Amino acid sequence: MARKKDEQVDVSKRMFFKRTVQAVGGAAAAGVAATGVTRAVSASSRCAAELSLGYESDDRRQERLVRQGKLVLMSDDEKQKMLDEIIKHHHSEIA
Amino acid sequence: MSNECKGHCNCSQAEEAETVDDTRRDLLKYMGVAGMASVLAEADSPEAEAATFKEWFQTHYELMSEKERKECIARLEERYSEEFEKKTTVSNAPALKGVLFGYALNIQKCIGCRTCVHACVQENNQSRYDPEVQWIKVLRMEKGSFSEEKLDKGYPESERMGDYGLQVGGNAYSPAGATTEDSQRYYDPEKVPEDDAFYFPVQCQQCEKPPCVKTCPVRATFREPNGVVVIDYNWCIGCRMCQLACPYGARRFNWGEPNLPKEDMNPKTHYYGNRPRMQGVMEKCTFCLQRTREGRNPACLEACPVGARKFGNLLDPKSEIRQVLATKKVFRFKEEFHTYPKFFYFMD
Repeated sequence: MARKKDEQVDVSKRMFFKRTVQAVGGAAAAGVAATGVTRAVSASSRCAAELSLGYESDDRRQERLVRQGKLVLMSDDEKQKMLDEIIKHHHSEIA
Repeated sequence: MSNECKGHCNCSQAEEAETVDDTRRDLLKYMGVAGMASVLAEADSPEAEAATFKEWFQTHYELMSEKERKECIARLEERYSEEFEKKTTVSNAPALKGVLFGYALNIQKCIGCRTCVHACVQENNQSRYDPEVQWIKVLRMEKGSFSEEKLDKGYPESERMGDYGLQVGGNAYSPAGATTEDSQRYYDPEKVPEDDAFYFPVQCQQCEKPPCVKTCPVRATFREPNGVVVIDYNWCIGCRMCQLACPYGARRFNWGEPNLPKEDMNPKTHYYGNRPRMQGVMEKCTFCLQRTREGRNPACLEACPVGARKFGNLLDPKSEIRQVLATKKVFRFKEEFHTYPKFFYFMD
């Protein structure tokens, strides 16, 4: 009875160990293969037309953002305050 | 474990043994396939594979030791030299001491020729086709008409709505100068400048308080000591948070592998500047860091045929940029974001 119990424990320990190794090995292999798979998939599945959509949307987005802006003339006082703030921030960053 | 139970011993153990064997077999098969896939994907020499592995797993450049930096630079030089079939240098020249770079552009002088755009593309190893990635975008805007009669008519428009762009004086219904509202990115007249337009180049404003730096989850982009916002291309994870955060739309993402012909490649590069980028990383204007750290001017400034661009050290009161700020009509652009851009637009 005790021997059977010992055997059962041994088997379950062995199984646990093996499953752990399988899990770790699988994860490591997946990580190593990720570079090749990612490159293969990304290169083949995205044609030039699809990629150009991304670039176009970036350009359109910038155009939209610039259209929302305004150029406001600064007074001398405002210019000096802006410059002081920039220089002050610069010194605090490099300190 | 024996499979010879023949029904007399504990059958579950035998079944378990078979299951274990099957699982082990599958694991070995899987690992073999994965290993082969990775080898096929990187079908280079062992040295090249080792270099790729090291580059993939290198840390942030700012956190590297001197030795690691030298190795990193050497790896990149070797890779670029091999890829572009010309001797390529990757400088790691440090930031200049006592310098805070600022840039100013005279929107009255700009003729919209886009020479600066193309000079930038040449200097900074941008992708040349499908698409051509441009760090500077020149927008065409209609000139408004300023009427003194209307100066005290109406009421001031709020900041977000009814934007009249350039405002010289208040309470003007008509745009004074030009609006950004009707800017056009694609213009192709026979001759520039056109009589009814003025031109507004936009590039990275090198903000003193950059929102892009705040949003980067891995600090791949950061403000270096001369005030230029740079990107560690190898550390960038391509999440594009910085691109979303930028109020000027100045950042560019490499959706695909950049197309840079060997003959067009500028072999004099800097780690944070114009070295060739890869798919999946951000890029943007760096004030031609590879030039400015050697005391030269950015390529766009040198290319401008009308001298509309000025550059210099904001910490030096005698510099040209400080003279512009002191004596010219300087405009704030998107001041409400409080990013304190170091790129100023001015008129004489």
